[in-house]
Amino acid sequence: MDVLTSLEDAQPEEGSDLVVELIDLYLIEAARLMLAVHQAFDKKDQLSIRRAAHNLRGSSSSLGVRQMALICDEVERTEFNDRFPIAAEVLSSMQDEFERARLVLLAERQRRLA
Amino acid sequence: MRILIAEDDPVSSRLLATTLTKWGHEVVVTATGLEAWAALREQDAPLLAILDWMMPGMNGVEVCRKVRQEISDSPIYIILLTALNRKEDLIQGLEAGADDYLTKPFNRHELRVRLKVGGRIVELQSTLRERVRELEQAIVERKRAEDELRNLSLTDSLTGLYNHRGFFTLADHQTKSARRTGQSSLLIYADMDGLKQINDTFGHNEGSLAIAKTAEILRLTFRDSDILARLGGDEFAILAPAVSRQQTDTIIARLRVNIAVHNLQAKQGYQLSLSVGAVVIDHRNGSSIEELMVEADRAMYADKRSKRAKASDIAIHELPTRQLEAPKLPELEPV
Repeated sequence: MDVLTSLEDAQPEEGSDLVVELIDLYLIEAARLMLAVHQAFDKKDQLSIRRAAHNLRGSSSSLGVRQMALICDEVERTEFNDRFPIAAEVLSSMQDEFERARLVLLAERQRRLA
Repeated sequence: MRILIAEDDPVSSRLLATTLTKWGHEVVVTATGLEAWAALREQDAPLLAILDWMMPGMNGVEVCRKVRQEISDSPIYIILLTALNRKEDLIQGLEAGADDYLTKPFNRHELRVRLKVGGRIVELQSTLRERVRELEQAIVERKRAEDELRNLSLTDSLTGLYNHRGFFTLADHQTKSARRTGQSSLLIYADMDGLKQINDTFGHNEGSLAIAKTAEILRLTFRDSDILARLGGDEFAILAPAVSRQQTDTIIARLRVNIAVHNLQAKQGYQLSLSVGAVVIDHRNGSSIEELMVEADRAMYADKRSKRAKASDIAIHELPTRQLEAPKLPELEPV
């Protein structure tokens, strides 16, 4: 969570907690993109999978959710072609990582609001 | 400084906007390339733009290219924001017209330094444009002032005689005061013969020279106190104050002699000639200077017509040789 701490530098003098706001933005955006990844996977639409993964990597790295960014990077670079069973495996670990990140971020959010 | 952000990732966008605002910048936030393009086309568009490379619809590189193509005189400084860090991608971005790039997630210190560079360039360009605008404005004003001065001028630049405006200003004043003192004056309207032919045959430079020479002859013929003017083109006017009716013929004759002498001495391929109409102004004649000019003009045309009747090649009007051989030049009485 050191990245989150460094984000505090951008915290305005007045107004709500920027990190909490960024976490909320991230959780909404990431959930939307995860859904997009799954839908694209169902349609075997490789281009849309990569585009959603790319966006998710951007949000994740901005907030410092490193593991998530790494998996997204992997998905973005992988040529699935007809090897969609492999893709299913990668997507499942992506989903797991997102769940893990969400718990950590929610805990951090809670701690900050307390 | 006003900075445009074009970023579709809400987390990066919010973070960037908050950071820039905290540093004292005013931010315009957009989430697509099209929105960014629209904002950059506005009258008071931000002069620094941070564009995300990957955006739905129009991407950052495309916005960049459009700005450079369609707002050619725009000093907008563009920083491309990208998660890509392959060299060929960066080259593509810079070739599209980006000034700089930043890789995501951005480093705050790097962002600050790159913004400083961009700000400095925007400021230099603005100063330069402002200077150019000032210079253009100065040129326009200078030209206007020169035109005004020319309009205000009383002198004809080619001959150094009075111009139309100068003549009427002075002549009006002069005739009024002459009427008060009861002195008569002589008003002469003179028109060069054959100037068009001189222009057509020898060129307009020679034509101008002929006008200047004619002015010189007028200066030689008349007194310093007389008002000599070139009204425009090949037309001249003279107001000689304190001239009696009896002296008029002498003065006209002297003018003709001076022209003839000039033509004898000059080695140009043509001869100067003037058609002249004269009107005497005295206390019995209460007309305005404009009315008197019309009268003198009429007399001048009569002279021109009589010359045309005498010779078909009338442009060259000469005095009889006899008169030249006996150059008993009449002198004006000092008055």
